Order: sequence, then structure tokens, then C-alpha cells
Amino acid sequence: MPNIVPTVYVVDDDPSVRTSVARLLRSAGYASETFATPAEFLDYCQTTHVQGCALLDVNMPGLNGLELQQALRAARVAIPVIFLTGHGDIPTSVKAMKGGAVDFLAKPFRDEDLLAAVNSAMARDREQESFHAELRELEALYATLTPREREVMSLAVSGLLNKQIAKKLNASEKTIKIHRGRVTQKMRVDSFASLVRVAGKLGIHADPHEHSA
Amino acid sequence: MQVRAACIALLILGLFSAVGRSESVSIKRVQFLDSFGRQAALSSPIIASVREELTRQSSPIDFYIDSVEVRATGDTTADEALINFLERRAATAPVDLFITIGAPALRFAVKNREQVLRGAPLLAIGFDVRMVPKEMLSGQTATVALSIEPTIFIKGILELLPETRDVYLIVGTSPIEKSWKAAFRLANQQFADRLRIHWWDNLSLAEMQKQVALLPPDSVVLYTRVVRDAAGIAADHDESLAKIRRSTSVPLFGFLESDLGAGIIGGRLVAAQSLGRRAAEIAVRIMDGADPKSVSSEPMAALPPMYDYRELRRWDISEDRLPAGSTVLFRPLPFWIAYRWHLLVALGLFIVQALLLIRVYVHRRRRGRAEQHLAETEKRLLLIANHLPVLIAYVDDEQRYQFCNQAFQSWFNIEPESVCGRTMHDVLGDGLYQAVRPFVERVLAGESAGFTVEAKLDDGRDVAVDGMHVPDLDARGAVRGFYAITTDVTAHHQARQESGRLRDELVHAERVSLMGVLSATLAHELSQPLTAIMSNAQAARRFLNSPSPDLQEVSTILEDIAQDDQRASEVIRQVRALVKKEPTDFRPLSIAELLSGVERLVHKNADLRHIDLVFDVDADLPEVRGNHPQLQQVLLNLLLNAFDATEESGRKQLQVTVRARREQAQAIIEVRDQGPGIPGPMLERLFEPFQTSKTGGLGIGLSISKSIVDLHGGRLWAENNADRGATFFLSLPVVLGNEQANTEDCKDAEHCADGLCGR
Repeated sequence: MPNIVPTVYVVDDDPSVRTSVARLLRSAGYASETFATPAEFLDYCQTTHVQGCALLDVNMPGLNGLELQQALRAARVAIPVIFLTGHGDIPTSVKAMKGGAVDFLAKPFRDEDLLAAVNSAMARDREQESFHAELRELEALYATLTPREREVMSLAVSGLLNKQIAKKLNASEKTIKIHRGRVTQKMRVDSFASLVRVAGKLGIHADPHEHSA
Repeated sequence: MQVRAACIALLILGLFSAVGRSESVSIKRVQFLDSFGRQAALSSPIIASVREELTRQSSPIDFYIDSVEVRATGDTTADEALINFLERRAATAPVDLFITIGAPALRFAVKNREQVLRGAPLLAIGFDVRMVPKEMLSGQTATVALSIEPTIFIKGILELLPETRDVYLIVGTSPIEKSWKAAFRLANQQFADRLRIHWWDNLSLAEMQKQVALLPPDSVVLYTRVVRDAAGIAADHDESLAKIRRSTSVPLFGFLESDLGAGIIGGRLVAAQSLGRRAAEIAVRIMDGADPKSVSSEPMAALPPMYDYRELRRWDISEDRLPAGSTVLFRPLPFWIAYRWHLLVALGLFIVQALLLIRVYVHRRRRGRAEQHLAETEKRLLLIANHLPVLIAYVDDEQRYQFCNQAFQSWFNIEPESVCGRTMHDVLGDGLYQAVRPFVERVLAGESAGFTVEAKLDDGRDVAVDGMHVPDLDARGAVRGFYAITTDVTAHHQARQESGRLRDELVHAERVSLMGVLSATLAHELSQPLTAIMSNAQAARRFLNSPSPDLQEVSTILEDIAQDDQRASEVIRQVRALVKKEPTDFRPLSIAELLSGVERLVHKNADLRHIDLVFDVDADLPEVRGNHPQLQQVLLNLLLNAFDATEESGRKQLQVTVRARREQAQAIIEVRDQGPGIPGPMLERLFEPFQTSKTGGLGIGLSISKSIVDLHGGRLWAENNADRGATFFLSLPVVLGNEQANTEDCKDAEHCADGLCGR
């Protein structure tokens, strides 16, 4: 996975535009893949992990750019999208930005505008990518916890004391202390604060009532 | 002796015929004995009548005719020769009927009855009963007698001419005449106090002729008979009467009906003819076996008075004096009856002549009237010609004006007298003359020519004129000149040009507005190559800036740039072609090219609206003549409308179909949408301006499209589809092969529309 080169995915029905934009990106040191139709790109996404950003033409036969954006989201393809449009009309732009577009470029564009947009999209993707990588790591660590340990962790990050946890789980305080030590070790955190942050990242938040019932 | 000879001749004839017929038929014999001679006026009609009647009624009859000897003196009854002759004849050929005419013959027959009659019945005709004793008529005797009072003749004279003092009686010397004389003498005693009767029985006919010429006034001549005159000359009755009539200086009277018309004035006359007819009847009856005694007729009186008109006029006797019941004979026929043929011919000639005269008169009058009418017509025509706002002129075959009206003079601003005789070139000026010259040449070749030309006059005015040249042919059909009727249509022309210009403006404006509708997709289409160019150019610059630039790559990039620039230019060219304002020229166009141009303009639009635009164009579709941008405009309108309608349907699979095909001399382009269709009321007013069912747009697209199609001589209409949506049909006349050659330089849409091009 880490060996994947961030790529700019160019989707435009116009071959000239596709070719020229890919060239420009290459001249700036970006790898690129070109697709003539949204469908082609969607298919590609189904089989390949995409990393980088997508340059989508808004006005395309079949699915247009905005529809493609929605389709990607639906397919959980989290990739920053830059829209290219022949006529930068405001309603379309607003829709695009709301849909999570990184940028919106009116054709024809200056190279620095395109490259700047690609740069920032790449950065965002990188951010997303590192976030996702950390999460994937934490999830792997979390997967090593026993159900009891997950319970203890969940309750601990919710702010309960060992005594309170022991009482909730009908266990001795000492046993809880051992579980907690194992969770800290397995999750490779050095402090309770770190554990709380990790739990946050994993979306674990203890529901005290659930356990107290 | 002549008489005797004649009798013998007849007798011989009679004998021959008697012998010839005796064997088969019994031949009867009739003996006439005449008192006057056969030629006598009294006897001849009687004999003729009796003979005719007997011949008709009975079997063959031999007639013997003899006369008693008429002598001046002596006893006629004792004529031995006659007695012997008749006796001998009666002995050989017995007579069936003995007829006597006149008293002397009767007396002769009665006296010599034994020898002459020998028992044959006697028919006594033409004697006066008073002159024959009754006892003479006993025995087998029938009579047709006369009973005429001699005084009636004198009375008759006095009735007519009361002034008469002397009556000169012309009478012969024969026995019968003597007997008449006796009768007259007796009768005249009663008129002795009124007149004297002179007897001219002692005068010869010649003497009488002399005497009658010398008679005094108030005297008359009474002509009785001259059988034998005083000179002993036997006279023919008619001849002697004629002689007397010629000579007489006083009125001439007579007493025989047969003399009326021969010179006597008339009066109560003795009818010889009727006497004859009556005698004939009785003779027939006797021959048929009737008893002679029982068949006698009553003595005949004189006839009612009869007069000869000519003699009355000759002696100037008024018809007022004629006794009642008088008949006037020989009255000349009225002129018109007497000369009716002459009259008819004359009348005919007259009528013919009159007709001829009338004809000449009518002809002259007509000609006069025609001339007058002609003059009036000419005057009227001239008045009309002069007050018409059109220019009227007559030009001879040398192209010289012979006539022009006032409008012509004032239009060219020339004096009337200076027009006649001047040439067209001189009057019209070079500009206008050159313009109309082809039509002048045509009309001088005998062909009527109507035309519209524009020209610049010598004074700098730009004019347009409608002209009509009508040749004037002589009797042989040669052109001797022509009528030129010209209307100044400059204002009309300008107005038409102006209205054409305005319409062009409107059409253009609508086309430009179409560009607005297309602008989004056009911008997109333009931005694509521009984007490519920009990107390529920047990429190239970066490549070149790199330490080891790949020149091959840069070269490829530059090629791409050129290509994209080409693409962009093409879009711009199309837009400009559509928006450009230029004179509407008509050329042969390929429908396939037209449609592909339109497709280029709208395909992106269709794409973006997810409409599948399908073209189905027949191969070998002939060209149509038209204006490219205008027809594109029409098709754009139809397609964009179809897109709008189809999009409205909200369906997933959207399709607009364009189909082009040929139908006879028409190319038909159908634009079929899948929209909601056109509501009924809308369908009718679809092509009226400002009719729109859409929220945007003025609603003039279709009305302008229709006006364009009309101008192309085509048709634009719409129908709802059977399933869904509507189809718009555009039909345009195709260019037929032989027309293509001369459709090149048709610059004026108006003229093309008016059908003036290519003629």
C-alpha cells in the first residue's frame, strides 16, 4: 500500500483536453491516469485503490461531474475532487463545493492554478491517507484486545475509575488494573490521555448506561 | 253563192261520216236553216251552242247548215233552189231535227213544210213572237222565241241621253231587216214628239260611214243589222259595226248582247248566247224523243241593262244616268290591278333601290357615327392616358417616340413636342436605356415583355420601374412599333427592400438569440480546445525548461496545439457563419452537410441534456436551393425545441430523431421529439409570433422559421406523433439536375421567392 504513487485521475470526454492536461501534470511531476467517461473511472475505482486526486469535467455526457462525485462517495472512494468546467456558473460551483470538491477550475485555466489545486488536493489526500493509515493501525491493535479488555478500555476512556469499572464488571479492582495495563500495552499508548485520543480516533466512546444496566 | 258552196262542202263531209258510221251506229241528222248567213252575229253563237250540246249528249250527229237566200227583194219563202235542195237531201237522208234561226227561215220552213221537213220536228229559234202568226207554230214545233218590244231600245237611249233629237237607225235591206224596220216604225210613233227616227236603209255601208261622221249633236246612231246594204253588198256584221264605230261622231247604240264591247254603248240587249244555250237544251230533249210541243220555252225578254264603260266614257255619259240594276262592263281594271306585274316589278325595283339608298345612308351615317365615335374614343383615351399615373408611350421600330402621355413628359421633365421623333436612348438616358434594352429588343422581335428594372437616371436618381412592352403588329404581322407602359415603382421597390431588410434583421436577430441559447454549450465547445491548447503550451514550456527537454514530445505538443486551435477556429467559424449578417444568397445546398453543421452546433447541447440525437439521412438526397445560415437557423430552432420538449418529459432514455428523405420533388426533414406533444389549440397557432409554451424565449422562433421556409418555397408544419411527442416537418423543393447551372448568382431572396430567378 505505501508504494502506491499518488496519481491525478483525469476524467474528461474530450481527448485533447485529457491528453494535454495529463501532459501538463506530467511536466509538473505528477503521475496521471485518464478516463474518457465517468463510468470508466468508477470501474477503475472498484478494482484499484486510488490515491491522489480526481480532475473531473463537469459537462460530460452520461454522468456529469457532479453525479460522478456522488457516485464516488457512495462507493466510499475518498479522493479529493477538482472540477473543471467550461462555464463557471455559480449554482454548479456551489453544488460542487458542498459535495466536497477541493477546487473548481474554469476552462481554460492557467497551469499554476491547476497545479496549485492539484497540490492542495494531493496534500489533503496525503492527510487523509495518513489519517487513514493510523486508523488502520489502531484498528489492527484494537483487534488484538479481548472482549473484556475492550470493555475495560471503553469504560476507562469514558472516565470511570478502576473501582467503578470493577464494580460495573463485577470484578476485583486488581483484575481491572491488570486489564487496563494490558490495553495500554496492546494499544501501544504511554498514557491514559493517549488512550483516550486513540479511542476517539477509533470512534469508541463508552456508554456508561450500557454497562451499568 | 259562196254560202251555198260552203253548205255543200259541209254536207259532203257529213255524208262521208254518215256512210262511215252507218253500219254500226245509227247516225242522226240535224238541219239548221239560218236567216242571216252563217257569219251573222245572231246565228253563229246559237248554232255553235246547239251543236256543241247535241254532240256532247247524243250519239253521232251529222249537221247540215244552210241559209235562206237573203235578197233585197222578192219572197224568200219561194226560193225554189233551196226548196229543191233541201227536199232532195231530206229524201236521201231524213232529218231528225229541223232548226230554224230567225223569222225568215221559220217562215220558209213552215211554208215549205211538206218538201223540206218531211215530218221532222221543227225547232224555231230567235224570232220575235210578235212577228210570227201563232198558227204558223202548230204541229211538231218547239220554239225558243224572243219577246222584245222595239221601244225599249229608244227608251234606253232617252234614259241615257234625254237631249236626243235624232236617232239614225242603221239597218240593212234583207227581209229580216225589213221586218225589224216595220217593228221599229210602229214603236217609234210614241216618241214622235221627242225625237225623229231616220232610216238609213237606203244607204250603202260606205255612205253610212261618211254620214255618221257628220251627224249633228243631240243625235245618236242605233245600229241594228247590216246583212246586206243598200248597195246590195252583203256585209259582215262585226266588220260593219266596227266601221261605223270608227266613223261616228255621235253615240252608237245597238241591241245585241254580242255587240256590247264591239262599239255600242249598251242598254237592254238581246242575248244571243243564252238564246243558243236554251235552244241547245230543247234540241237535246227533242232528239231524246220529247214532244216538241211540250218543250217550248217562254219567249225571252231583253237582258237587264248592260253598258260598255269605254263607250260611256267616250261619249261622256255619267254613270248616274244609268237605270237601276245596270251593269257596267269593260270597266278598266283599277290601275294597280291592270298593271300589277309592272307595278310589282316597279315596286320591287323601287324597294331595292330604296334599300340601296338606305344602305348607303346608314353606311354613311354609321361611318359618320363611327368617325365621331372614333374621335370621341380617341379623345377619351387620350384623356385617360394623360391622367393615368403610369408612363405610356408609343415607340416605332426605329426606337423613336411617336407618342407619350403627360405622366411620361413630367416624369422625364421634357416638353411634349420634343419627345416625338427622339430616340429612346436620348430620352431615357444611358442608364435606363441599357436596363430596358433587352426588353426593347424582345418586343421588337414581336414578343410582349413585362419586366422590372433598376437604373440610375442621368440626373442621378436611382429608380425602379415596372415595364410592359406590347408589340404593335401591322396586317402582315410585322412589328411596326410597340407600346411601352411603365410604372415608377421606386417607392414601392424601396419599401419592399426596406421591409425585406427589416425581415432580414429580424431573422438575424432571432438567429443571434439562438446563439444565446447555445452559448453555454458553445462556450464549452470552445473552452475544450482552448483548455487543451493552454495545457499543452504550458506543458511544453515546462518540458523545455527541464534540464534535458524531450523535443520530440514538444513537437507532438505543438502539433496538438495547432489541431486544437483549428478546432476552436471551426467553432468560431460556425458561430460567426450563423451570426454573421450578410446578404441572403441562395445556393444549392446539400442537406447532409446542412444537418451535420447543425449537429456540430447542438450535439453537445444534446449530450449535456442526455438526449440521444439520432440522424437518419437518406443517401443520394438531392440538393435544395437555399440560404445556409437561414436553413440552419430553422433546423436549430426545431432541434432546440425538440430538446426542450423531450427534456420536459423527464424520461430516462431521451431521443430526438432527425430524418431526411425525398418525396417526389421535395426534400423532407422530420424532427421527431418525445416530449408531451403539442396541445390541440396550440397546434394551429404554432407558427404565429409570440406563441410559446416555454418559459423562456420570445416565441418568435417558429414564426421566423416559417417565414424563412416560405421564402424558400418550402413548407413547415407539425404533427403530434401517434405514440408520444411531436414531429416537425420541413419540406423544401429539391434542385433538379438541369436547374443547377443557373442557380449560382441568385442574390436576392425576394426575387427567388417571386420566382423571378432562373427565368
